[in-house]
Amino acid sequence: MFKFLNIYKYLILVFSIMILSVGSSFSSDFPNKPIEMIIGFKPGGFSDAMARKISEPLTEKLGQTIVHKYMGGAGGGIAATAAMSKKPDGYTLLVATSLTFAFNPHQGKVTYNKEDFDYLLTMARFEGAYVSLSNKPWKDFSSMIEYSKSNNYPLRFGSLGPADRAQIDAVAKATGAQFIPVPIKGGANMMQSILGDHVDFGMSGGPHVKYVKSGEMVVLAASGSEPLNATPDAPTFSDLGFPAVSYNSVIAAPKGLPSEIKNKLEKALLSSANDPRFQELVQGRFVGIPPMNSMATTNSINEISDAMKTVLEKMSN
Amino acid sequence: MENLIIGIQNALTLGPLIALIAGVTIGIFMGAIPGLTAAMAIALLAPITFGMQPITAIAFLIGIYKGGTFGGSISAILLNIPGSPEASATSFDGFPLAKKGRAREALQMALFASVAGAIIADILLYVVAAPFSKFALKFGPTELTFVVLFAFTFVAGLTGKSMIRGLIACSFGILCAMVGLDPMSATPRLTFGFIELFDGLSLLSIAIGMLGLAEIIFVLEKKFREKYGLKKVEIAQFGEKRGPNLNLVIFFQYWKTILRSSFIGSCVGALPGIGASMAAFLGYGSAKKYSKQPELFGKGNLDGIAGPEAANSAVVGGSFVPLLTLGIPGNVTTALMVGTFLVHGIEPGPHVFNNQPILIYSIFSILLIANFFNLIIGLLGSGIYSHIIRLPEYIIYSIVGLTCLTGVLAASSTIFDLYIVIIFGVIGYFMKKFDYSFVAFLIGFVLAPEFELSFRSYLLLAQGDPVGLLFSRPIALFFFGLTILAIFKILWDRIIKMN
Repeated sequence: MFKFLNIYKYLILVFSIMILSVGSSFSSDFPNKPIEMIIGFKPGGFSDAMARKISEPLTEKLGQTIVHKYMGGAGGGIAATAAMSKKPDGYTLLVATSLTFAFNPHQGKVTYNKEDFDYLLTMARFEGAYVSLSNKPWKDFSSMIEYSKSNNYPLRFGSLGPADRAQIDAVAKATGAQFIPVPIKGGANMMQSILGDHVDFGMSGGPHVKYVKSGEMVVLAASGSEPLNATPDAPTFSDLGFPAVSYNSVIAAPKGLPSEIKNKLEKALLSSANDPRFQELVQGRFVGIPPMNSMATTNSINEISDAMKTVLEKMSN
Repeated sequence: MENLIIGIQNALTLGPLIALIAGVTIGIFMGAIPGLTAAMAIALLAPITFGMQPITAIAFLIGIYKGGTFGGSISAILLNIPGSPEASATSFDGFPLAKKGRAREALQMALFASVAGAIIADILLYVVAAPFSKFALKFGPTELTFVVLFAFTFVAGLTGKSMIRGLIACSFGILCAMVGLDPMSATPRLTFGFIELFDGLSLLSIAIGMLGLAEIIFVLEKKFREKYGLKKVEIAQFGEKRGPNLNLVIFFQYWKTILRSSFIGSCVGALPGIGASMAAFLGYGSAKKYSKQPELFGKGNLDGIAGPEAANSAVVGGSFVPLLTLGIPGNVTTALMVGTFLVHGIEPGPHVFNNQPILIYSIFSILLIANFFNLIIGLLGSGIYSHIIRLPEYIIYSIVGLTCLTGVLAASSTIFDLYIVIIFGVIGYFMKKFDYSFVAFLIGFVLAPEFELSFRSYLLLAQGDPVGLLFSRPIALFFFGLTILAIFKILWDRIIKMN
């Protein structure tokens, strides 16, 4: 008798869970619980600041709290791995960079690839640029390559990571110029190495802007295909005919969002990124761009991914 | 001169002073909780400063930074869990003192040494900021290679009784530092397929595991032996008095250590990218090296607290040198401050001295004033905190065990780091059992990544001629010479001892 009662209790429990879960999957009332935002960086950095800032208008628009979870490391790879296994129900968002999706998978060290995510928004673009001191015997990227070749001078190149090294490797293959890649940890150390003339030029994601304004440094080229915000006159890597890499700050979700939820999230994210509070933050740091919607973000991820794939294939040959 | 006076006046207004008191209190508190660091406190609290006056906002953040640097030593001394990574070295002698019932003395030594180190560094900042910043720019991969190589010679003094065991421990530390992505090729090394290991093992997890958790296993073993009537292990008792205050006359006997460590800390702080943890270990190492009784280190020597504490606090002043003169933040905490500076329209860099001289003098003054608040609030706190020691063992160690794990979880928010803590807790227990030095291990772990990166860059830049490059770099050559001298000195001392 008691056993039967227990079974009934279980059945009721199971049914109520089923009803509840069906209820919550009705996308019309999305979101009806807090949304988890997995941030692929350690707290305190600029990416974290952007994630927190965009959450303010996003909370108002969705009417639910955004819970932040920090999973820094491996260039956003740890966060992406964790997000990939989450349910595509719209309650998990991932903040990472274009390289997390478009570059890391090509290196074969992560278990996800770019098809595992639905891309919702590009909220900012870092000022990815190749920079050198202004008193060097060159003015831009092409004249630097010329100088190196005609003087048989190997260029000491400050590298922030494997992506810029792959880019410069492609340049070396294409032009025959010689480079010595020197690994440097972080933008601040890069500035120190350039100012102290320990490298001839280096990759920078933004801290160079004030030195360019004061005249100590020049931007040789933008690493991406789009002109830079602070120095729009610098040639882009696409202009020069080299593979371009844009360092975009991207918000994604696990693949397979129901289209109604996806539309709702995309709309809310897009208008949050256009919110003056968010724009004030990003424009102050020269990383503001007109926010890109889901379609545009997906295209740009594919574009960068294709460029990096070609470069890496050439490197291995 | 007028600017200087106006700057000091601006710093001495009500807003900045209240902000300093609040900042220092929060900083000490956050620093004392394992896993929460001054950097995290600044990251969390920076947004609330956006509405303040610029100088008040800066005072608040400087207060947190200074308070947090001292706060980490509280839990390092009382619980053997470094509250922040740079306090790891403080626990080597602080915890043995606390177990001997001299907790209050140890805490006050840490506080006084911190404040003294910070004051010396701040005065150095006043005097040499501008010239030193130009000098610091000269430190490239070649120079750093030989600076760190020289720092490695300090390990020799820290190896405990057996030099071979010390070197093994140090090598093991270096091996652990190799975990993660190769800095050049980004190939994973020793990660065993775990993506969580791509960024390497974190110093905080390792230090908390080896110091805090290993201690608990040790005490468990002791209790187990007592219960089953096995041979007793010598271990000091908790549940005793918190001990006397530090005698100021005794404090001033350590002036040499404090001066030396302050200088080390200031220099390390001014070189971008090296960090307070390394300064603390160098401070500890040099204190032992120049001590008349090096055999007392690790057993509860006040000198062993003064060394690391003066050094890691001096880093604060030192790190403002590249920040204010070049606009380059030397560590995470100052990098976070740059964000706040920018919000208030202050762009740190070579031009700020000309454009906003009053502000610079205000910042200098606030750095100095913060030390006095740190002293007062820390002194009040050390009386209260040291009561912890009077709790019975079973309560203390339960709390220690819990805070070890929650602290790491708070810092990393991944379960994976808890496994690291537990694994290194077990490793630490066996290292202690077989007398392999933690200190040598941690020094190897802290120095190796810096050495690897700069050494490999140096070899690349040398283009097949490392000797030629070394001889064209006077600073590198100088440190190379010091290294050779230090090695000869060590060998000489050994030979004399043997005879």
